Formats: sequence, C-alpha cells, structure tokens
Amino acid sequence: MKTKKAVVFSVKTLVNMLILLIFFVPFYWMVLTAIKSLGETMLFPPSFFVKSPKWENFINAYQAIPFLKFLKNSMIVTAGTMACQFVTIIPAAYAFARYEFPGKKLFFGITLATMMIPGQLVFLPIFLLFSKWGMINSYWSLILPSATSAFGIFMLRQTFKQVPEELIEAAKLDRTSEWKIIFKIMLPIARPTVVTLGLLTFIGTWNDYFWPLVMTTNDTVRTLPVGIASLRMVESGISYHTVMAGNVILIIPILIVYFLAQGQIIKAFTYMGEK
Amino acid sequence: MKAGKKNRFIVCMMAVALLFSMTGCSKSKAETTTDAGVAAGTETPATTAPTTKADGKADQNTTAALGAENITDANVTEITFWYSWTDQIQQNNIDLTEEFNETVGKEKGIHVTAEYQGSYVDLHQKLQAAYVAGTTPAVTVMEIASIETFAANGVLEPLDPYIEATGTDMSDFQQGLMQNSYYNGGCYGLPYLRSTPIMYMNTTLLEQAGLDKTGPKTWDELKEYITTVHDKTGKYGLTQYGYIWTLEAFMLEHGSSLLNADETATNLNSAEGKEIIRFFKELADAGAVHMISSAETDKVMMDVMNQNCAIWFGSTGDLTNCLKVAADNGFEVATSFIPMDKQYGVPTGGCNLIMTSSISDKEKQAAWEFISWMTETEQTIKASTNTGYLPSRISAIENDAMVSLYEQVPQFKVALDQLTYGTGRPMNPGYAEASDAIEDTLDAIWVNNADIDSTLAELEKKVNGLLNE
Amino acid sequence: MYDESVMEEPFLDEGILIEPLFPKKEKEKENTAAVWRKKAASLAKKAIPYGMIAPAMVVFAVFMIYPIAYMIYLSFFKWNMLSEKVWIGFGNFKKLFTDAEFLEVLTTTVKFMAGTVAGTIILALLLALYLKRNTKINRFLQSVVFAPYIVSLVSVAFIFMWMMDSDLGLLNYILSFVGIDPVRWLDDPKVAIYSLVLVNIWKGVGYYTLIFVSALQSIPPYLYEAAMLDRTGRMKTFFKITLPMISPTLFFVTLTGIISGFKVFETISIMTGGGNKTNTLVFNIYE
Repeated sequence: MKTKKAVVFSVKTLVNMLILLIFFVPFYWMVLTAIKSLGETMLFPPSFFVKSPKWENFINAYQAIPFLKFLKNSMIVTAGTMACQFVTIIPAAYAFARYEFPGKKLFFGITLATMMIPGQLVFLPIFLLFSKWGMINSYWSLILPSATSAFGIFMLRQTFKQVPEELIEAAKLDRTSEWKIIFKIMLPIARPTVVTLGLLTFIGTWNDYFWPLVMTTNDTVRTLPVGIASLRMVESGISYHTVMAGNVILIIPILIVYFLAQGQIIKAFTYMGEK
Repeated sequence: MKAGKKNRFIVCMMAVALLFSMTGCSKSKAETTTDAGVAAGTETPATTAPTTKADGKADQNTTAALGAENITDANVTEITFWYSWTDQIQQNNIDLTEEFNETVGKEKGIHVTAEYQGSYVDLHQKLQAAYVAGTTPAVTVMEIASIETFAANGVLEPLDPYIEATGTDMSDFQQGLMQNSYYNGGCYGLPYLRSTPIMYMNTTLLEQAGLDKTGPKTWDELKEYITTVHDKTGKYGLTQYGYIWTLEAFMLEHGSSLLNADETATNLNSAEGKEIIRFFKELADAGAVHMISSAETDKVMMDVMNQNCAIWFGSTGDLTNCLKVAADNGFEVATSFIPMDKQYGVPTGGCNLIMTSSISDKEKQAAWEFISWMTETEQTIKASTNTGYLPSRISAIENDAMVSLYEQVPQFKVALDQLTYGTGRPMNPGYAEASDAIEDTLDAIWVNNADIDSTLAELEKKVNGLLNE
Repeated sequence: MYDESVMEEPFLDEGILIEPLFPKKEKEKENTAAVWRKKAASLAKKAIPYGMIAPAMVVFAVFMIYPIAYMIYLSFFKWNMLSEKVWIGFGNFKKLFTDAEFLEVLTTTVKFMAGTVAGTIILALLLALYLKRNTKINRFLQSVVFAPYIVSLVSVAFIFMWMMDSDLGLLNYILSFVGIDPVRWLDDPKVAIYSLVLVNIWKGVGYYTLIFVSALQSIPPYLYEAAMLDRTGRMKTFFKITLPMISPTLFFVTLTGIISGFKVFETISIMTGGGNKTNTLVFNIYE
C-alpha cells in the first residue's frame, strides 16, 4: 500500500514537473535568448545558461522603437476601449435580459452573428470610413470599432437573467429607477462576470496587433505589439536576441501583474464555467 | 432562435467567401518574417549590427512632433514621406529628411515628415488603402517592380514636367538603374536605394580547399569550386534558398530571362530553366550545396557566420554586414560577379522615390523639391555610404568620397562594375503573386524533392495565368 | 437606427399607470393634455429597451454590418483598390469556385480549426481532471497553465518561431535526445499547419482548463459518492456523470473555440506568412 502511494506520488510529481516545463520553458527560453549575443543564439546545440548576459539587448530593443510613446498609446487605447464597452454592454445586456420588445430576437441575433466576423474581413471599409472622417492615426480609430463586444453582451445577459425576479419586482414597487436597479442590484450581483469581461477586454486590447497595424500610417497612435513586431524589420533575417529582448519588455510586466493578482484573476475566469 | 442563428452564420460565411473572391485576391506573401522582402523582390539591406541604430525611432518622433507644430504656420507646405525598413536604413531616411527640412526646406517653406511603414509589401498595401481613402503621402519609396502597377492605375504622378523644369540631368543616373522608372514613356520614379545581387566568397575557406580566391567565373567553374570545397573541407560549397531575385539573375546569365520580353509568359519551364534547377538540385543531393527553404532565409547568414559555406549569393546591400561578420569571425570575404554561362546579366533591385498624384499642386511642387534633393549627387553619396546601397549617379561614383571608399573596400566596386550588365525587373502587375508561386516551386523541388518536370509544367501554367490576368 | 435621445427621457412615474382600455370620450376631451402625457410616457417606456441597446447596436451597425454590406457590394466588382471598379456580377464567384487554391485554403481552414478546437478541448479537459482538486500545487499549476493566455499572440508567435527553428530551435534539440530527426516545423508544408495548431493550443489551453476546472468543481460530490457505492468504474463514472454534468460548459467552450479558431490571424501572419500550406480563410482575406 505504501509503495503504491509512493508510486502515485512520484508519478504525480513527474506529471506536475512536465506541465510546469511545457508552460514555463518557452518563457525561460525567451528571457535566455534576450540576454544572449547574436553569436550565442546561432550556436547548436544551444546553451541553457548565459555566462555574460548582454543587457544591452534590452537597451537596443527599447531604443529601436519609441517605446514610451507606444506604451502610452497602449494604455490609452486599452482604457478607452474598456470605458466604451462598459457604457455600451451593460444597458444592452440588461435590455436583452429583462425586456420583451419587438425586434429583440433580431437584434440579439445580430449581436451574436457579429461574433463570427473577423476584423480582417471588415477592416478595409472601416479604414476608408475613418479616412473620410479624418480620424486615421487617432485613438478613435482603434477604440471605436471595439467599443462594444457581442461576447460581453451575451455573457452579461446570461448573468442578468439569473438574478431572481423578486428582487427586481421589489425594487420596482419601491419605484426605484431603472438605472438604480442596474447599478445597485444587478451589477453587484454580476460583479464576477463584469470583472472577467473587463479582464478579457484588457488582455484582448492590450495584446491586439491587427487593428493598430492596419489603422495607422505613422507612430502617433501605434501600440506596443506593433512596435515589437517591427523589431524584425531589419537585417538579413531576424536577430532573435533583440526581438526577444523586446518581447521580454512587452510580456514581463503583464506576467508580474498576473502572478501577483492570480488568485483574483483565476477566480474571475473560472466564474465562466459555473454559470 | 437556433435556426435563425444558423442562417446568419451561413450568411456570414457567404460574406467571407464573397470577399475572398474580391479583387482576385492580390496575394503576396504578406510579411513572412524571414523573406519579408522577397515577394516584392527586394533585398535585405546591409547593416551594422542593431547596436548602432541607437535612437533612430526616437528621432523620428521628433520629426513627427515638429511636423504637427509647424502646421500652424501657413507658409509652410507640409508633406509626408513614407519609407520601409528599420535599422540604418531608417536612420538614413530620418537623417536626410531632417537635413532637408533644415536646409532647402527652411528656405522654400517645405516641411517633410518621414513615416515608417514596415516592409515594402506593407508599404504598398497601405498605399493602396490610402489611395482609396484619398490620404496618400506626397512622396514614398517604392520597390521598383511595383511601379508599373501603381503608375498604370494613376496613383503616381509623372515626373517629366518637373524634370524638364528643373533641368535634372537624367543621363547622370546609371542606365542600369533606370528601366523600372518608366511606364508608357513617362518617368515615374528616380533611383534611390538600389542594389544588385552579387556572389560572396569566404576566401579563407577557398584557400583551405586549395582554390584560387579570385573565384569562379563560369558555371562550370562554379560547380568545380563547390565540389572541391565540399571534398577538401567537408563544408558546403554553397548555401542558398529559392530567391526570385537571384533566379532572375541565373536566367539572365544563361542567355534567357525569367519572363519573356513582353512579360506574358515565364521561360522557366525551358532547357535553361531546368538546367539551372538541376544544377543546384544535383549538387544539393551530393551534399555539396546547402538548400534552405525560402521561409528560413536567415540560415544563409548562419552558415556564413559559422563558416559552413564558401560561396553564397546576396544583395550588394548585405556587403557591410558580411564584412562585419567576416571580421568578427576571423575570415575574409571577397565579392565577384555572379558567374556567367552564356553572358553576364543581373537584375537590379531596391526602391525608387515616387510622387503620388492625388495631392495638391503646391504639395506636388514640394514633393518634387524633396525628391530632387534626395537624389542629388551629394545625398546619393550619403545614402550609399550610410547604407551600402549602390550610388545611383555617375557623378557620385567619380566623387572623391566614393573613390576613396572603393579604394579602402574594393568589394564595393564589384557591385558597381557589375551594374554594367544590370537590367530592370519584370513589372507585370501579376508578377508579385507569380513570384510567390515560383519561390514555392523552388522550395518544393530543392528542399522537398518534388519532381522537376511536372512541377515546372504546373508552375508555368499558373504563372502564365497570373501574368495575363 | 434608434435615436439615443430616448435614453434621456425621464422614467416618468406616470408610465406605471395603466391606460384605461376604453377611455370615455368626455374624459378625453377634458384631459387631452393628460392623456397625451400618458401616451408619451407609455411610448417612452416602450422606447427604453431600444435606448438601452442603441449604443451597442450603433457600433455594430457602423463597424460590422455596414462594412460587411460594403464588402458584399464590392464582391461584384473587379477591383484591385487602384483601378476603376468594373461590375462583373458573379464573375468573382465563378473564379473562386473554379480556383484550385480556394479548395486548398478551405481545407487548411478546416484542418486548422478542427485541430485547434479538438486539441485544446481534449487537453484542457485532461488537465482539468488532473488539476481539479483544490490544492496549493494544483492552484499554482493552474495559474502556470493559464499564463500564456494573457500574453500577446505576437510574442507567443515570436517565441515559438524561435523554438521551432529547424536548425537552432530548442524543440529539435530536445527531440534529438529521444533520437528523433530534426523536424522542419514551420518549413515543411506537411507539418507547418500542425505546428501552428500546436502553438494555438499552447496559448489557449489554460483558459479552457480553468473553465473546465470550475465546472468540474461545481458537480455535486454526492453524485460521485453514489457512484462509488455502486462500485461504478472510473471510465463509466466519467461518461455517466462527469461528462453530462459539464456538457453545457463543453458546448460553450466548443462554440467560443470555433469562433476564435476561425479568426486566427497573428500566428499565421508572423510565423509563416501563409506559406507552406498554412493559408487559412481569414488570412487569405486579409491579403
């Protein structure tokens, strides 16, 4: 019995190690490459440790693009998108969950259908639209197209639907206004969903590469992922050490935030599975 | 609800399909990382390690910021200049733009803002969208093979009236660089950052193999060199990948050309084409040539760096980089013409400066001032020494600065001399997509062992279809 | 679309009053103003839900429906964005369906989607079953598995491009220990699309694992206790209890998986540029 337990334990440890390796090693490899010299990246078999780290790779990557500006842009676009989504999603989800009105099915159907539409399909007309409005290279061109989210409306509607009818009836008898019902009753109950959606939007916008790529023709509003991707536009091939250094600068902050707040974040995300 | 959803899904899929069909899908391998320029037939630029580029982008910002402030000044004509590539090419573009703004620009009330747009392919795509939206930059670099496509559709402004008015001496531009500037008798671009493919050799390895370091002059000698290097040193005689630009050169050397004269059909499925393809295939099968797929072009530099190969083909623009790599790794590099079979001949590459048509006359005048200044002898010399690209003006070559550079680094001279045999590149609008197909085929045969005859026959059909669309 | 101004209408208390079914004529005359007010209020009340969905619908209309309609309109023209538009009716479609490449693109899309969705879900389910017990180690591993999800696809693409390098890549180095010949991950038309699938699974599996874990944790324990008492086998327990209990989650996950799999762009754009038979529908459209 004891030996069986020991075997189970060691197998488990082995599997745990394997999972850890599979998901951790790529990040380790990124950091390692980021401090190698060009020559070292070209060695095979590759080395797993670096004797004299080339910290200047980071400086090179940092200086190769207007880093602070791109960082600022990323922050503005992400915050703007989140604010817009907050304003558009909550009332829409509430209306779809709590009202019956002619055309509801149609509108909800349209909402769901838009989930299937990839940005690559619609970017050209949108680019032309923004050009006409003189809004290319403005934050609006990056924020407005994702000012709402079909997925968000759908998820929040599901949550709102689960709020017991009695709560709302009671509030209505008290002549509580519709807005108060949303903000005082619905949102607190739906908090986990709202937080999750907020995080999803944050991750999605912060990491987005496509929109900033096609909607900009100069650096005014370009965001970090576009900047990092431009690091490869050099030389006869890719100098992986510089690209990885840029990658580290892009990833590490978000990873640190993640591991500090992982409990919260994971709790928020797992909420999705529980509905 | 469910049925409705399904219907909508189908509608969406239809729309997707619809769109796909639109425009015949101008397919160019967008921006494959490693062959970023291949589709557009560019060459990867020379470089002095990324360390030297310092605050390139930062400077660019200042330029942009200044531009924004100056808009308030009604007397200043604001124009935008788009360029490709980062690194020292970016630095060169930014430096020259700033110099223009401080000198001629100040004098004539013109302010140019330089804006980076990615690879040539990226830039061309953005230019298309900007043209439809009516927001084109006044001046942009343009990969030479694409000029006809844009000119034929009225995107570009013919430069002839401006050339006449200014009295620009067109005969001073090297003739080998001019073919791609013309469309329908009009001149649409002036040569800017230009290059040709050349042959590079690790002479240290050649000497080890007991070979003369002047290098092979003919294809027979090339074969001998490759096999000897492989036999004597165990290293590769040659490393290369399926690259449309060098293939154009090989076809020219064999007395043929990749496309026929009126660019309606490819000559690749011919005795010459097959001879070229077999030549490398057989040597690769014998282990003497290292064939790399076009998705991993940086592997050539890796073999070079690790002294795993004696010979490789590359752009003249790579020379600065190759010299540096050689110095770092303790070997010597020589350059030479691409060996001849029936004749010498190379395509040229790189980008010209063009002016767009959908801007005001005032902006056009400003754009011309900028283009004209950028292609003057003095700036040609600066651009050439900054980047390693060819000097496009004859007067530049005779200039003391260039002469002394050529004395110090004779390898540069080879590229220049080879330009005597330089020609343009195919300009058929279908060529970008055809190039992708051709490179895919080279990969299929050289790397993945596809059958030569049937694959080439298939390719011929496809390419000819694309060229005649 | 629906005017946003209706949102500004105050939620009049009168709105709650029920309109008389058969209003008496004289009363109407007496209180025309009041009736009108009532009517307006009732109208305002009816408009409330429209006002609420208006902002979202306006965004959809401008940035989804209009562009799609425009693209459909364009599909009837021969146009390369530079030339004049020429009406060719269904010419593009004819060309499309006679084009062998289209079939290839379609196959690739299906392969990519099926591979990603199936791979992600199966792996996520296995991981979730393995990590479902709420222990410290499991919670830590959950967060490790989830980490790639929050990282930019651009970064992930670069990292894997580098690890999948056929000569210098870490993956081939690891394989060499097991005596496997180097794989040309992104370079071999037969392999490349699956390499991309692998990358997408690696990035997305954590998200789905978390969702499955919480679904598994919310299955009432007494069901398992009953199964234990009945001496039901492990496999049988899984198929008879676990799977039916998490089927709504499974459905949700599959749906979102298919949607996101269909839309993948970054990985393809950066890692292969659509070469080596990795050209999926969406990437093709972009080009």
